[in-house]
Amino acid sequence: MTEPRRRHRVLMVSDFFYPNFGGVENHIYYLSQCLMQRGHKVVVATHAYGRRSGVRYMTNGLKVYYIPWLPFYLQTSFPTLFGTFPIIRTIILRERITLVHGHQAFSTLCHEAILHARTMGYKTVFTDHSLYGFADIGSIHMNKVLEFTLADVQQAICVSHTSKENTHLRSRLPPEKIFVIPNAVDTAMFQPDPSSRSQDEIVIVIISRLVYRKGADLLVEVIPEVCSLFPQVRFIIGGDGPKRVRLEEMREKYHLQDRVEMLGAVAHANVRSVLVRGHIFLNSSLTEAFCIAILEAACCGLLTVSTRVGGVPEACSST
Amino acid sequence: MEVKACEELEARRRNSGSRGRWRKVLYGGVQEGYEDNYTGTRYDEYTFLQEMVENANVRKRSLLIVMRDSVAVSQHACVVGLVGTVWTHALNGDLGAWTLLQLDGVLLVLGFLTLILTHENLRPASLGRHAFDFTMFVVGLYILAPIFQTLTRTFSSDSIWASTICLLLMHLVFHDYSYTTVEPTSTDLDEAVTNLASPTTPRSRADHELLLQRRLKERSTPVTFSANVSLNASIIASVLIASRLPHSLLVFAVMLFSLEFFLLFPLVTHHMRRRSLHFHLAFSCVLIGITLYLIYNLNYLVFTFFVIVLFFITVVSPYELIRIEKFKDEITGPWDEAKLSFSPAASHWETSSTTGAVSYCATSSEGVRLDGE
Repeated sequence: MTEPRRRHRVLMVSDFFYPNFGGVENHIYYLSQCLMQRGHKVVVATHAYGRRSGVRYMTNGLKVYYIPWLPFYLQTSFPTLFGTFPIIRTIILRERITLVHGHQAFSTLCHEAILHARTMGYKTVFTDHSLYGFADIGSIHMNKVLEFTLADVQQAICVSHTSKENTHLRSRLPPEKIFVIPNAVDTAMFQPDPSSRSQDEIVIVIISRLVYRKGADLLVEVIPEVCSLFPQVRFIIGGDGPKRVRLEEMREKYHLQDRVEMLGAVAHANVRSVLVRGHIFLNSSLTEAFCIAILEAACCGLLTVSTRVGGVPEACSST
Repeated sequence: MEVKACEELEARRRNSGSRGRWRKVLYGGVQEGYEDNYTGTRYDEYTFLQEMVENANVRKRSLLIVMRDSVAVSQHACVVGLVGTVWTHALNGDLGAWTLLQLDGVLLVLGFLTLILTHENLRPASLGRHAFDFTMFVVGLYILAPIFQTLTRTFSSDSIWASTICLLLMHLVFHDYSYTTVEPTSTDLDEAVTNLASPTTPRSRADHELLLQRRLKERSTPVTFSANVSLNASIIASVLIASRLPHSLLVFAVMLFSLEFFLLFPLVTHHMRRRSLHFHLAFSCVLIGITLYLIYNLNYLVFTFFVIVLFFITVVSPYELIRIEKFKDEITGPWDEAKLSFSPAASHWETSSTTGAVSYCATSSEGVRLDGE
């Protein structure tokens, strides 16, 4: 290359970041690390989590601002429209930011930061991670907020084509402005290990939060059927949630204690060690923008079986 | 290995002069010549929003049926109007305690008779239990009447009237009108099936039917949160009014009258509606007539207001609902949450709806890994 590539100074803004844990948090962290490897500068801004407030540094000098702003509902910060303007402006000027990147439609901090960044004339990008409906009052309200904020963003990123359609309908953003960039998985962390698999039986692994949206009720129905049809099948269920009781109830009722193993919550670092024990990965979500768990499982060499919802058919096309 | 794969992809990208057909996949290999924001321009490859369905679950309403069902709302507004009239007469001193007590007794007997005639399977034992419960309730009310009478002596009448009217409005807003109008429909049945889909469900068909019927029976007397709010608001309103009355016997009579209408009357109308629609409509008309007559004697302004409200409920609102129905634009698509619409037998899975389809998409692990790198 004759001309050096342009270096960006990116501000990632979202209410959701470590120590909170989930897909968005992971995505922001890995995206920041990759951008830094490519020579860009990245700063993350989120709200304070408990006593974690102020500036922290993470791996490779990733700077994180924990803005002392109280969360009020599901970790989203209290919406004030202009309340965060001074601090966002200070961060942008101090870090000499060139691009503001907001994450997750549910995050009020992200909306406000995009608004302030546009006010100051900076370029903005928005990433949508989830699918939402149109029918209930909460969704209608959020879609209106999204339409307002995204009216002026330069580009938006969605994780799947289904998510793109959804975002286009919700925010009225022209489809040319929406880019589909699927989530990536760290292949170095998820290597197959055929030696740890059982040879004489088939192990089906399920790792998800045990909630209604992840189809825990479906599992309650499926597991006894499968167990009665195929005597050589065993299940390993990782994850915790309100529906765990129902699964345990099912296990008691059908006397499947020796065939259904329930691990409880599994830390992300230990996910691989659970995955490599199985032959098949089962995802039973009722809605999913993009299932990173399927990718991780496939990466570990498992066959993946999933419900046909949201962006899942795109991620694992049957061709 | 990674470098090799990348080079291979790069080579493929360079070699392919003509771009292939675009597919709606994320890791389907390289989509040569297509940008990440590609939406599809050619007719044959335009898949954007292809799976969106508009107004899939919308049922057309008929004006007559909506008007017919709105009678239940008017009926309840009349109940409130009627009770309000009796309160006003009692407060003005036009209505003696004994007259009102006799009226209470007559209404109570009439109510019970209607219930016996209209209820499908009322067993004598349960009737006896109801009678006993009610007697205890009346005795309790009689004992408490002096307390009610002096409850709000230190408050001004204006505040009492204001809060009573607010409470009555709250009662009207939160009242469970569907209890009198709606019969169990097929959607309720579906819901019952979904609720039944639990591990404790017996697998045989006959048992399932039995459970379903039991569940539906339970549904026939639903108690929602808003219905409770509504009932409590009306009872507080009665207590507030009763506390303005001159002596405790009148307090007792007025409280009994209010409770008969707010607590027991919905049960009677519910069973009346279930037995016969015409009976329900005829009774509602009589009730509306009585209420209008009583209010007409009381105050012209209130009467006019009440007529306008009734007209609004039975004519304007249904008409408006039908008129704006054509603007309804319900969007469903693959992004919607799938609904569990299976019956306990696993063989029924294939018949579930398009969005809720529980189908399998499997992929070989190698394929995904190569594309993911």
